[in-house]
Amino acid sequence: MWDLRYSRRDVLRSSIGLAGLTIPSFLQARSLGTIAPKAKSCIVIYCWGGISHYESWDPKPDAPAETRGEFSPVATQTPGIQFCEHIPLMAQHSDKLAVIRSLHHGDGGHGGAMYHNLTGHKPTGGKAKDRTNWPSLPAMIAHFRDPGVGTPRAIRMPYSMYDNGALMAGEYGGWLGPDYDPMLVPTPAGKPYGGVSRKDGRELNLQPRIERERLAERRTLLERLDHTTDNRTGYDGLGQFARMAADLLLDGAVARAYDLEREDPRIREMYGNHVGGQSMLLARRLVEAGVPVVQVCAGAGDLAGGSGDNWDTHRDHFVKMKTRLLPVFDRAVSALLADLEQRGMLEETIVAVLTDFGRTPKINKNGGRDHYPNVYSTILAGGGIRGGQVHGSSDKSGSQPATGACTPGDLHATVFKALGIDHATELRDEMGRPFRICDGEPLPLF
Amino acid sequence: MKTPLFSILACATLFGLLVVSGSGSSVHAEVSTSADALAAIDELGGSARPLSSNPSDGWEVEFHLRGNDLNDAGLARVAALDNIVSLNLRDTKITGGGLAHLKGLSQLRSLHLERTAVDDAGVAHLAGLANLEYLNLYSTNITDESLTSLAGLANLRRLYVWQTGVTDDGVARLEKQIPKLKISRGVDLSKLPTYTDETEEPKPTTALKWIATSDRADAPKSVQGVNTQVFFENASKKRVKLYWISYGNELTLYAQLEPGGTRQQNSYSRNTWLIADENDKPLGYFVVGTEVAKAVIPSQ
Repeated sequence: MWDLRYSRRDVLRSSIGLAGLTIPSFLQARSLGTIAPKAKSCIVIYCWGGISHYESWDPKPDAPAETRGEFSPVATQTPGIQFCEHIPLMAQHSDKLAVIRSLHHGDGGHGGAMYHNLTGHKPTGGKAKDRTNWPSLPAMIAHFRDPGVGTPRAIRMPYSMYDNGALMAGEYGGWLGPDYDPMLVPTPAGKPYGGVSRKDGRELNLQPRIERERLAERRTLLERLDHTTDNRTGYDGLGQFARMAADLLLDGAVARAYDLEREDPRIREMYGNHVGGQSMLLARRLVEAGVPVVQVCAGAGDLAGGSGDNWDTHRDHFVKMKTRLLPVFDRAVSALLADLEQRGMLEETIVAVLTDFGRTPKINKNGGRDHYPNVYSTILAGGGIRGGQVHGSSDKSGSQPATGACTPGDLHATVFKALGIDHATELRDEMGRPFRICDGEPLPLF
Repeated sequence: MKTPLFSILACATLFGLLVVSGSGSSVHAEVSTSADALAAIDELGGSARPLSSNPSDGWEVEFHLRGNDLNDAGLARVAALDNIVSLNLRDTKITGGGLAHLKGLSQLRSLHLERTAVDDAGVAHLAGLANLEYLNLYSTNITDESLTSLAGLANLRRLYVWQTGVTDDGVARLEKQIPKLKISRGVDLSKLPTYTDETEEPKPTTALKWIATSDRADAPKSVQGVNTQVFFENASKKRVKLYWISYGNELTLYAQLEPGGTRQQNSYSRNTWLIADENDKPLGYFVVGTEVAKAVIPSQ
């Protein structure tokens, strides 16, 4: 009889896993997909709602008061680069950062903007889980990285992105199919973001005990796979296996990574006892355990009209940024950078911060800033990206790109390049239609 | 029982590797040595990948995710693979003595030894690896003596020594000897800054009005409003139940509050919270405003 303990170990041990269930597809994987990449993993940090470029990486101290805002700039580790004074820890890591100050696109709404930034393509207006949507950046990376059986291809946490109760498009596998939907896991520790964060379906069941039923189900699957060395071509057996990976999580390296109690309490403290920090810590632990790509939503899950701890600061912008949003973010991102660096992981891990758009130059009557896709900023680190540099600039008032204008597609192309993925690769959907994975061009940041 | 599936895959592995190694070289002996080593790597739980489509560019060999049981004897078999460029032995059972097997890996550019039992005597075996660019020794038993052993590695660019016995002096000396080398010391966890609590908690600025009633029908259903917080406090001598009256006028139990008990509750303005006793007999309700507020359940 099949002994499950042995079977699991054998599956995990085999460096080729069961991905190639037929010999031809296996050989194809050998000769094409397993060439050692440069950066091996990617951590995507998403600032849901749209982080203000003024109050982060592109302060405008010389602009008029109604644009400049209440905060002052602070010097960074790199001469000539200034950040907002409320990200002082990140300023100490500028030597690891490529700051991009000239991003722009034309989508003024959250849904379209998030879709554009997370997929690298203009929104098509589809529903959240439409299979005609473009895959998210993590889903696309997952397509080029097979971590082997027992390790999820892509994980996102701690919750999905909603706007006023509506689930948004852009975070899923799209036309790559459900096997590439990044697996949603909750972050098991930390003080929550204020506001609304919804729980939704397909959340990974991480209970430590395997019920009898599921054990039986898994056995059936394995037995079926045992007879799968037939003439089927392609990867049609993989769907079942991708689902089974969730079960294998329960006693593998990934399950241990998920257990934050195993982490040095001082390291946990460094990231901050907040779900924002603990999610970043978990991202590092998952990447360390072999998960190729992890996405962290750095803010409350539902924008709910900008009323909770999210970056959609239409009201009381400066109070929220100073007291709730930036301190958590600053500490968490800085801890992640320091921790990846001291473990020798930063060179092999590209960290990309993405967001919807920037915020308006003019402060509104409610003390807030509104949506602004004409120009915004973000940061990249690791994965061979040269630190201590700025790409592009916005004009004097932060209203539009002055130099080096670039798009979300260019940012994606840069991330692909770091990972050794040709951004001009053409993939076909299930109907056989060809798609070039990315329309942008890599930025000269290496 | 070993299943046919794995036998087939084992054959496929060997076949696949031979195809890849064979395509770049016509020397059969080399192919078969490499094939033996590749088979050993697979057997020991590791993985080997060619760096490019041309296998003569070298191999990347990893044991850090699967194959953590690798020991010094296993490492000897792994090191027989020709042209290893990158080797990851993180979290394996190798010791300093095992590093003697790496002496011949002249093409090695990247070596991960972090979180192993490697020591100064072991690192001395690496002194001849002239192409080494990346060396990770964090959380090993090394001291400044290891840094002295590495002084001749002119191509070394990255060295990781967090959580080891190396000192400022040792690091300064090596940085002088290899000027382009960047040594990562990491964060001193005994000297972490004291962080102030990063978020200021919302504090109640007003108190919600308690409306006593024993009739459930008196309490209005919730209406959509803006997000806020309510700080409930049970000032009565009984345990009470806290119900949210939904937008559809249904009751959802949120909590039970012991006498003196408190609860911070996320809510929306114009929402109704019904308080009942343990037997679900209504005692009264609160309607939430836009401000963060206290809601005190009075003594009956």
